[in-house]
Amino acid sequence: MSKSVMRKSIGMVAVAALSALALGSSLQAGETPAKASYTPADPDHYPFRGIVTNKKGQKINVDGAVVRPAIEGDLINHSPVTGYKPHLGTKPTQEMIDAWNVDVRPDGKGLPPGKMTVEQGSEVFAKNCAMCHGEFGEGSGKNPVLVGGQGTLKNQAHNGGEEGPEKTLGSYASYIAPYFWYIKVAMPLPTPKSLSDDEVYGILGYLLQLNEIEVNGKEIEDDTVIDAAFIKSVHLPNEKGFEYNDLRHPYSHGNRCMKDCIDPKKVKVMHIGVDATDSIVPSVQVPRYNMEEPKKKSGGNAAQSDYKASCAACHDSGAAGAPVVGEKGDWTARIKAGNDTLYTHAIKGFNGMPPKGGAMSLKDDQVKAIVDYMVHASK
Amino acid sequence: MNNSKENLSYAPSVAESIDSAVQTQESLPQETRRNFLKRGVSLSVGAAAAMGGAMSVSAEGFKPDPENLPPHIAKWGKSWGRDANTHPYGIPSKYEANVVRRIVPWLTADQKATVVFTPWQDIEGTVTPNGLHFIRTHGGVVDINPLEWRLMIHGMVDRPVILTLEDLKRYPSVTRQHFFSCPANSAMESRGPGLDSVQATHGMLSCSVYTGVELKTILDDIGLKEGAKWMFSEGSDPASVGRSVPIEKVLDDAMLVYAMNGEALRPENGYPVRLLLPGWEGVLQTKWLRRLKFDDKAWWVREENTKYTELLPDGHAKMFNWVFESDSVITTPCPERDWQGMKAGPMKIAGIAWSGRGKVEHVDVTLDGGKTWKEATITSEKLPKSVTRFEFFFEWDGKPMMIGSRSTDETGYTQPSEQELLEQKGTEFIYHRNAVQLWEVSANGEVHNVQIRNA
Repeated sequence: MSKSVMRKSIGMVAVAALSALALGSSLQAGETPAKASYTPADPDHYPFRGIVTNKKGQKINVDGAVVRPAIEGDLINHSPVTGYKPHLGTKPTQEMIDAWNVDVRPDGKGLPPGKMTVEQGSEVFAKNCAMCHGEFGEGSGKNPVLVGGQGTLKNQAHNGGEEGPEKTLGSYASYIAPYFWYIKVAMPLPTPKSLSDDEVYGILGYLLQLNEIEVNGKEIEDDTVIDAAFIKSVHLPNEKGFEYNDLRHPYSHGNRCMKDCIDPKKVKVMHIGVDATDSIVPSVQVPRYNMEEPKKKSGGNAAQSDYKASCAACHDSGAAGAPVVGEKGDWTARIKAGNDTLYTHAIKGFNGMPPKGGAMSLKDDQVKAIVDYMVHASK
Repeated sequence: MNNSKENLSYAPSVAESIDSAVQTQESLPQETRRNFLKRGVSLSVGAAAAMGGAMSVSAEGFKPDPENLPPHIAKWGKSWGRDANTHPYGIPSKYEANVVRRIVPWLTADQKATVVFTPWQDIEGTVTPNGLHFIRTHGGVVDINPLEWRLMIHGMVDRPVILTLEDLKRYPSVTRQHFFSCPANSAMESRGPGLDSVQATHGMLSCSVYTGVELKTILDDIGLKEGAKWMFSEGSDPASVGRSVPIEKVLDDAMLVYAMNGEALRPENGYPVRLLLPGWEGVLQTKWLRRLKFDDKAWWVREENTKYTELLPDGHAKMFNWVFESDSVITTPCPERDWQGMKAGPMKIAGIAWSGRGKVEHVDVTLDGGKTWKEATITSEKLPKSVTRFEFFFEWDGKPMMIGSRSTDETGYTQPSEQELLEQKGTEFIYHRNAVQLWEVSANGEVHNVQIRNA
């Protein structure tokens, strides 16, 4: 079995598992809903331009908001000083602009030079992304799932009783090019802005392959080279799934009814079925002038809260092969290796774990204290 | 709060939030939960740390001492108080130490990409103190040296510039009061009543007096090129959240703000400079701003083409939802500040209302679950795109009630009921959920979150 086939077949299992969760929907990837009673949004044309006047004679902006007339002394919409041209600021050099000007539009404007094969991209993904998104984009813990979900967009879950929609790159996103900018500046979450342009192309290619997106009628292969031209030729299944919201005509609203607005015989009262209140910290229902003395924070608690903030995402769930805190089996061999080894791995990084778990603001001593806490909790 | 796998939810969806809630609840022993409520008191390690040891007052310390009540002379009047500048910044009374922001621990996988809620049950008036402003971050909070802050403005402008904070402050400023909200405010309630707390249901909302420079003032100086239809804003923080803003909004009331409520922005709110788009989704109002670029087309970034879109029952989604429709909530009473111990008699219901489309014009209150409504009194200035206060006075007969508020803004838009919103948007739209919030008041004064839908 070639690597590509193996990867795909495992990916398929993940996708099948996700699709199995979908209930009551026949919408297939690539199809617009059967009753397309909407106008798909066009990135080249936003239709609700300019300022209009409503029935009440108010000037209404693109967002449906009242544009207030400029009245002397009323500073809402009235600029106290206009036409002031002090020529402040300095001119950026081209080098400065180029370094920051990394946004990418849906038409691909802004995509930089660079390229990588899907095969290489899968390796970059395994190293940098799999710790949260899973090796095949299936998600880990409850970090975002990147694959599957086709056919789930019409799911309506009521009161937690049914599965809702699964919104992924393959099922929901409409254009791939803007993701270049997003991944480049914001990912991986703990160490953003660390990927090269080539690597971002590789990751995009791998994600498209996992989602089984065909480009120009062809499947994406391991040796497919992903570059700007390739990305511009991609069409995602849900490209036509969005509509611009006409905010001047809100599609949801109430009525100012004053009496006999509902028939009490025809309604039901829903109480909280899932009593989530108790998980709010501290408890609600707190009499205002009645509270207990807070417990003093001990050293152990500091390490524990650092752990929760910076390490728990992977070490509670086992994401990216991380040893799970509290699972003795995961730790026996590691504890035998000795604290110094564990400290070094934690501070400098090891396998799927970035240095300090990506929490570079932690001091070495804090990391050591966290390791001590993790070891203690796993003995 | 244990940290089992089930609780590790990043919670981008309602489904995950509710699932996690179920699992969290199932993992808590019944006895613990009941005690939790009965005791009426519980301070987490986090909240305790936020309050600080010196701030603590024991339950005993709150018990009124008869020696301090009339006709006695209170003991605090009989000796010197502490030095005036004991707290050089200033902190609230130690008796207010329970008024803090709070998190819902199961909501997110970590405390970097997360949300922290404003305690509306304890806030008076319209302005949120800076330390209580809600926080929504996508990559943690960063601290920026103001001398290292630079804003690049480029693209379709006549004169691209880099501005320092000092440059920005040399432009004419304006000072305006506006509400600020996350479009996921109240999002956990779409499938049914979820959280028994006004802080958790409506705490992704705050209101401040902002000071900064109107973007049109700066564009006057640098010149906007013909054909520039959109502005792209981008943060300098780890998440570098960016969004597309149409030029009509930029030239209307968009601001670059460096101060709120009289002091520099807090780091959690984008210090030293954030974009302010009054009445709009918080996620567009880029914190820790580093760049504004003008162009002829929008960017359709992840946060406006997958996240922050409203998915409807037919499978298509609305995008560019931007503005907050009129909304309101009763904060007195509420689950946290209920009427236990109150007797029948003259009562006051109070709350807040807001609209991104302008001024709040009317607020109506129901005592019978939405069958009949009466107009409440507006008790603050009616400022556009700002939190507005209302109060409603009535004689309580001591019987159970189902109370709620409903706002109408100056454009004539009225806030929908739960049933109306369900019919119009289904249960999976997540964002801009502005349904009337109902509280059930029982005869003993307990208050709980309920919904009314067609049977």
